[in-house]
Amino acid sequence: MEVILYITFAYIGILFLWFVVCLLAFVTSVVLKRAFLINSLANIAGTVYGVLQVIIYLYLFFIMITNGFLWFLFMLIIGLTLFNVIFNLLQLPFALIPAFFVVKIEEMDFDDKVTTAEILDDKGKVVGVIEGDSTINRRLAKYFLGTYFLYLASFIFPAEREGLSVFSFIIKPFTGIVFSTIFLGLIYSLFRKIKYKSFFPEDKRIFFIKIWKFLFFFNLIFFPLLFVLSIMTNTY
Amino acid sequence: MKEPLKIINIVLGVLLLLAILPFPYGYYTFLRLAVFIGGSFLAHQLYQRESIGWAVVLACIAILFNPLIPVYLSREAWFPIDLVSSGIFFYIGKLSSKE
Repeated sequence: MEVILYITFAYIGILFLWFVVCLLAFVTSVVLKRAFLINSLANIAGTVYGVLQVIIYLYLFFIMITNGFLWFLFMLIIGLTLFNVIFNLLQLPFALIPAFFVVKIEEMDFDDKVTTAEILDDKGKVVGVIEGDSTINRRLAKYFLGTYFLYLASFIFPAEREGLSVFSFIIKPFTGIVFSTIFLGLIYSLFRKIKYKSFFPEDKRIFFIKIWKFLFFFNLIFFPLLFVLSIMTNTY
Repeated sequence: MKEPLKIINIVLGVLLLLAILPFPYGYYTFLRLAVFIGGSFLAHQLYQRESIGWAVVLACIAILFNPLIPVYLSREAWFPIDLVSSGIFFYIGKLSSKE
């Protein structure tokens, strides 16, 4: 029972890691306005999926041939199909995650005719700015990526990276962003409720841009400050 | 035990030889299943008798004809495969009758 639990946790962990990797590739694609990054990742995932499918099948076939007759019968009648289906189902999310991001990036228009437009009042004074869809997406992606790399930079502190595996270096900045976003999002949405009578702006992306922008600049100032402070106090 | 193995070899050899003729698609589906089941059974039996070389050859044939992850080839490509596989089954059948 304990083994199954460990395998399940390991599987979910790897799946989550893969999701973060795909998300980073997707976000970088949006920032660079180049879909090839996430497309390449999806193609690689598709190829690995196909190759693994064949390898697993060959391994199951090998088990069928090299064991006793009862085992052979079981594998031939049900085992080969059953195990193949189970392994395929387990592999499927790894191919579906990049495929989902590929669909998302295909829906995006990187070449907006209008990137920004100013709203003028009767006297011709600028009262607001409307941004194009791709401009908003790029800003959102830029701040996310910037914040992610700043969280990644926090591993410069030995105390931060103590006992961490290589995988944690990918996952931890992401979870850092998620928890910070939840915390700041709660405060900001309450502030909005009091000031504008609504928790979120009409475009939810603007909400996240504001939070990640704050996080980005906060960390940009906070981390170097902490670094200098730790050197000065000999705690580095 | 030798006789049934010989019979299976001959039956599979004949089925593969017949595949050269233009049969309806259903025949080839049946052939896939028959060669896969028969081939893997023979490979299993040969592996148990420690005839590893022939077991590997038959396993390869069984995998080539397997219906789960089918190998799609043109009719022209299947022609020599059917002929060679048929020859192998006849040869193994002959070998098992000699033992």
